[in-house]
Amino acid sequence: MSRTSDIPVLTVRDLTIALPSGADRDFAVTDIDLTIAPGQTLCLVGESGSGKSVVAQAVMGMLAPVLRVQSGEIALQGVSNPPQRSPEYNKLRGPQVAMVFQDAISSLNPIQRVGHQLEEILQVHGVPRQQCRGRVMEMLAAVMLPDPQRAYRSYPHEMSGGQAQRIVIAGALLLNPSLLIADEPTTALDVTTQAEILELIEKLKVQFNTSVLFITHDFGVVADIADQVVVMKDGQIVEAGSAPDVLQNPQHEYTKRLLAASDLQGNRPVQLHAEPIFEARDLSLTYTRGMFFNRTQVPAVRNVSLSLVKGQTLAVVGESGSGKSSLSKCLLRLQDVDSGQVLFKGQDITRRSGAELQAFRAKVQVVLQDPFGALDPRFKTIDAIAEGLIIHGVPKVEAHARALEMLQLVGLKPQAADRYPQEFSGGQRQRICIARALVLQPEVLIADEAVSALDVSIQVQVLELFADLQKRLGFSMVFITHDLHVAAAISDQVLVMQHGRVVEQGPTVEVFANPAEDYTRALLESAPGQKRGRVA
Amino acid sequence: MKLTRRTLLSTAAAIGTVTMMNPLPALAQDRPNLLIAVDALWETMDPVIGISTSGARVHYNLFDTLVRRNRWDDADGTELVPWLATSWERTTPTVWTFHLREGVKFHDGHVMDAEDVAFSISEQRLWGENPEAPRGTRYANGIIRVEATGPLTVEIETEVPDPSIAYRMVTPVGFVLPKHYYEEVGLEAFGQNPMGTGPYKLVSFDPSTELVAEAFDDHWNGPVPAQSLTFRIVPEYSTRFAGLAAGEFDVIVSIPADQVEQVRNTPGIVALEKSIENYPMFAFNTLNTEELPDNPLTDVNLRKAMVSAVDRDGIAQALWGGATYVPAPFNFPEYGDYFDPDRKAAYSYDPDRARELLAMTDYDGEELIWHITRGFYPNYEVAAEFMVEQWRDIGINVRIRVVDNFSLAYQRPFHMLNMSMSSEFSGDPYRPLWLDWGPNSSRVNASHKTWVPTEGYLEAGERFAAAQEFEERNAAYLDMVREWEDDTPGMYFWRNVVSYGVREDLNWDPGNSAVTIFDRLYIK
Amino acid sequence: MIGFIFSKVARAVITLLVTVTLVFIFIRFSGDPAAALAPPDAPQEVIDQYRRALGLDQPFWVQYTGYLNRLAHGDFGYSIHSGRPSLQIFLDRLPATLRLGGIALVISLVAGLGLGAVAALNRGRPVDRAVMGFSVFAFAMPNFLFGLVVILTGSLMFQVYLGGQGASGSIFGVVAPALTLGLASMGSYARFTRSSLLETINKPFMLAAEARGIPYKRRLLRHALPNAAIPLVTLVGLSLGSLIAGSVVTEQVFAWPGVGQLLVRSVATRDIATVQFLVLAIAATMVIANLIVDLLYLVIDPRIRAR
Repeated sequence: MSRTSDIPVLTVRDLTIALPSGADRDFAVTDIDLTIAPGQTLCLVGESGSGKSVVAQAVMGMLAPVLRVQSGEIALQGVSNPPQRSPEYNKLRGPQVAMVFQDAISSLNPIQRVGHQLEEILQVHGVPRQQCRGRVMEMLAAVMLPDPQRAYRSYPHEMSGGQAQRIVIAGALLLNPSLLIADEPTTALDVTTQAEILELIEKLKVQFNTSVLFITHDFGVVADIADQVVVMKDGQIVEAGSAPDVLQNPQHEYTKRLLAASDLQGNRPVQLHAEPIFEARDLSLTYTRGMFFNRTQVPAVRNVSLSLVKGQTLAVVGESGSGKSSLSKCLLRLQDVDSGQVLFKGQDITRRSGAELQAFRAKVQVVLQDPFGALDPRFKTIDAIAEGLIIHGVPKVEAHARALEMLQLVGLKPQAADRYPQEFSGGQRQRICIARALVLQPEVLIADEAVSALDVSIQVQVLELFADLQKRLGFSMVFITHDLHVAAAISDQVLVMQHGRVVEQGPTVEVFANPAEDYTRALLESAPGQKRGRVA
Repeated sequence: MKLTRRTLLSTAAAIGTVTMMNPLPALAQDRPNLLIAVDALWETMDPVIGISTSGARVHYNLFDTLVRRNRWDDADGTELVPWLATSWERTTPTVWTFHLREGVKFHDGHVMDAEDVAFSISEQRLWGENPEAPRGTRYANGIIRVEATGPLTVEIETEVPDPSIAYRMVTPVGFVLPKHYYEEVGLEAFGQNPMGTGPYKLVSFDPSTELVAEAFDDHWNGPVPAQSLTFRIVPEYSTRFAGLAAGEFDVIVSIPADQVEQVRNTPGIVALEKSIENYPMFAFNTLNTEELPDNPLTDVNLRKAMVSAVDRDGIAQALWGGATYVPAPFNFPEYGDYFDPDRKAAYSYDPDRARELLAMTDYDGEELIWHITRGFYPNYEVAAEFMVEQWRDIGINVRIRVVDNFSLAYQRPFHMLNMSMSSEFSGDPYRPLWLDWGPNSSRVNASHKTWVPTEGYLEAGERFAAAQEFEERNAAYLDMVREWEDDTPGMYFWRNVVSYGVREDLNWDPGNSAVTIFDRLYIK
Repeated sequence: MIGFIFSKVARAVITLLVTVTLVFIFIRFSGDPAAALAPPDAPQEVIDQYRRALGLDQPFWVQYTGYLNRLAHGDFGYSIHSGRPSLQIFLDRLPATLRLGGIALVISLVAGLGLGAVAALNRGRPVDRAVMGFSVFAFAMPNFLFGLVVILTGSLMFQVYLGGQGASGSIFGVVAPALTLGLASMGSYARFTRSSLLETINKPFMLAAEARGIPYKRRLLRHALPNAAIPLVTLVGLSLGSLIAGSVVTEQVFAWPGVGQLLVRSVATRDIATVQFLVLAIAATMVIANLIVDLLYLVIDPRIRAR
């Protein structure tokens, strides 16, 4: 297969796709032009709803029937594609163009061994049966899975997200396609795994001489891998160009905003005056798993001490499994610790119970990751916010008045009071959750991955809201996150956790600028966009 | 006794003639294979242990009794026919001698003799301390000795002189079983692989599915008209009907009363409705008991008022059309000379008289509870509804309580209890009057008893039981009826009705009976 | 794993013991078996004779412990009427019921899955509405009524008898009763398959399979259907109960000489030993079926195996 010619791998010309009537806009995408030269990586950047995934689907011939191609042309290797959803596409998908998705585990059939699923790809494209297994094993080795034999026999649920993504990539490249479409393939992954996968894609791109259409919202990723960048907003291209040009010299406001969101350095000055309001001393927690003979002890938190200064924000960062969520449960007294103390305003509340515990809980509120599950769909906004007050004995009229006030404080219109949660977007719901927590006038707010489920620009808005409210209301905050960008944006102090232990802690500005520990350094370096030193 | 002798002569002649006219068995391929759809098959086919309606449909085809009733000429079968016994006579007042037919073969070729008969009616099986076949005990009531006195003669001795022994040999105790085979295989195996002298010989019996029998061409009274008989269990009526309409079945049993019309209107099928010797009725609970201390029905006038208030003829006509009728108490056609077509009931439908009788009581409208077993007697519950209405018209308040089985119906308190009385053949009203209402009856001494017989009734009954001559017996019988009606311990409805659906071209008629026989006398 | 099996078995034993006890009590308080055994107008002595023979004259507690003791020794009692062992009677009837139930299950599964799949793939079209309409009808139709309609239609319109054919019956005789018995399950399988399939079709891995160039038919048969069928296993396990209950009615209507008909007859004739044994056997069947469903999940769903 010759790929040395200058024929573009992918050409998209004037692509306009209509939305069904009744949608919030008329067109999913308008006048899209893209060209990807052989061996190049094009990053398509935008938030969800910007239309970038629709473009990818159109290239794959997998547009949903309700989406109609109004005009334009898509060509692979200079040859026009057949109409959408045509059976002829089955010959193109795999050998010509392949696609990987955000959630690798769920893009595999849960009840088939992954090896068989990969072999099937070869079989349906006419590869003789006896060659399939060998080809698959080769590919599993190529994506650098530590134990290809074992991976072959595994079921999807037995793998980590990173492993599954390697499998899916292996599947995509099995038939040596000229174009790989990757739709947010690293968004659900830890920073370190994300870095590994990005590296892998870079390596394979060269090894297999494949072009890549990479869809992302993260300019850090763009900085790491892109040759070309196309920025989309509301179904239109707002900016396009070579990666260095766009990164160094963004023209459009929207591009600038997205770039700012991928910034990675502390922005709060170190404060010398320090009055601790919330402290933990030598906390340890061990879970017991299993029954009878296969009982095992799993240490979740090991000798963790921390101190939250009044009016400040402490970020707890770490990869999944580092023990940060267990720590938050201990701090909230939702989980009894094995040893150590939790102090609130200097008082030991580690063993408190009953009314004293209730009083403590009123002063410490929590905002969780999932704004969809956190709200009862049968409660109106106003009732959801006022509920806590009423439980704590505030008369209903007063509770509603305070709830309404808080609603406006978190940036929602008073009209929102009488609507139900399902009528709001994710960001709006998280605002409701924040209002619900703050209406009780807590002294400490614990935010557990509170912005992780949100789009990057919404994330920025919500983080700004947190900072603004903190300034006005004066509460202290523990912000638990796996995202270094978030920690950098919000915290005064940062605490890095690994395997249940504290690796490093200190003022955010200092830790991010001069990490003392190897692990912290590795973590910071694996964040997208760090290697090329764009963010100086 | 003259009845018996007359019967003997005429029917012996008749049978002889028929046999002469059909000297050769019909060719096998000409004979039909009959398929009879029944609602159930009794689990054992020992004809005495398995006494039941579902058993009797089969028994008479596999076995023969010593004596038989002639229902092929007369639906009520008042005439006795010598069958395995060719004749019988009274040797002493308490001893009867039966002479057996010669050369009758069991299905295995073994020739029947007096030992087989003695075995069939033996103490061990029927009338001893713990009889093998307790269901047969009451038919053998009074027998104290059964003995083979010759190769083909058997003597039966009773405790007291009993003129009706020959009639009892018509009932299941008259079946002759092969002693040699029975003793070889034992009681249970015999029930599963029965063998007799009857016109059909068992091929297979699966109590869950069907019983198949084939023509026994060595039958003494051949030729056997059908090549085979299959009694197949089809519990659901509609399914039986469907099978008959589709031509799968030749005969079906038990058509619900309200469905007979439909069968009649289906082409290719004939519906037979037969009024049989069984009488649905209810007993008044005439006793004060612990559960019912102030029972208003202890007053005979209330009972008579209730009987007089009900238009039984009208109800029977409405429900059955002409299929049955309401007899005067114990005046049943199957009793030959005892039957008096002109006798009327002492208390029949007369609302004015009912009101007068009611006025003589202290009854003030308290609720009377009537226990009825669900679906047990055809049309019973519907008739009961009519009756309750008629009682309400004169101010008597009866509530029907329908229960699922008899043992629940027997649970006190109740004021009225449903049941039926069979007039099993003894040639006279002995059974319905003396066995069903006498001092040893369940009406009088069971846990669910309802009555204490009057002095007059007991006296007449004893006189009846002891009498040997017709005139004397008939007089005692009429006295008993009078006493019974005077105390009115119950009310009879009508002659029960059984129904059959039969393929149109099968010329078969069982007479007024629930017993089905498919020999050459019943298939014309 | 050992603990899992142990607790399952213990629960099964307790379930059976409770069932046996309840049946034992109910059957004795819903009327005197001796009275039912004797003819309706039998004299008291005859009833008493039966009562002695059945041990019903003993105190309740003695009867109960005696019964349990015999059960523990594998003695399941004897039919009052024929004197044959209840176990033997049951075993005689079992093949007929298994044949009917098995064929009903196969018919309802094949037809239910097929109809459900057809409906799902034609979502919103007339075919879909027709299938869903049929499924509601099938589920709501009492099999007693349906059986009668089938039988009467066959005989009055086509002169064909569709009931049980007795010992000489052909294999075709099983179709009508099996269809009747399986109808309700067929309806619920169709409905369930449809919704499960619709859900599965929209799962990310189906989209991913499309992106891998796997043809439509293969995606459907090799990926969507097996995944959609997993929850069906539970439904099949549950519907076994309705299959057993339905067999009582269906066997009655179609004169099918199986366990269901035996149960009806035994209850009607108060054959206590047989009824007791049958209920025990049915309860055991249900318990075992549920155990099999649990184990089947382990086999077909690797995700559960991992737990």
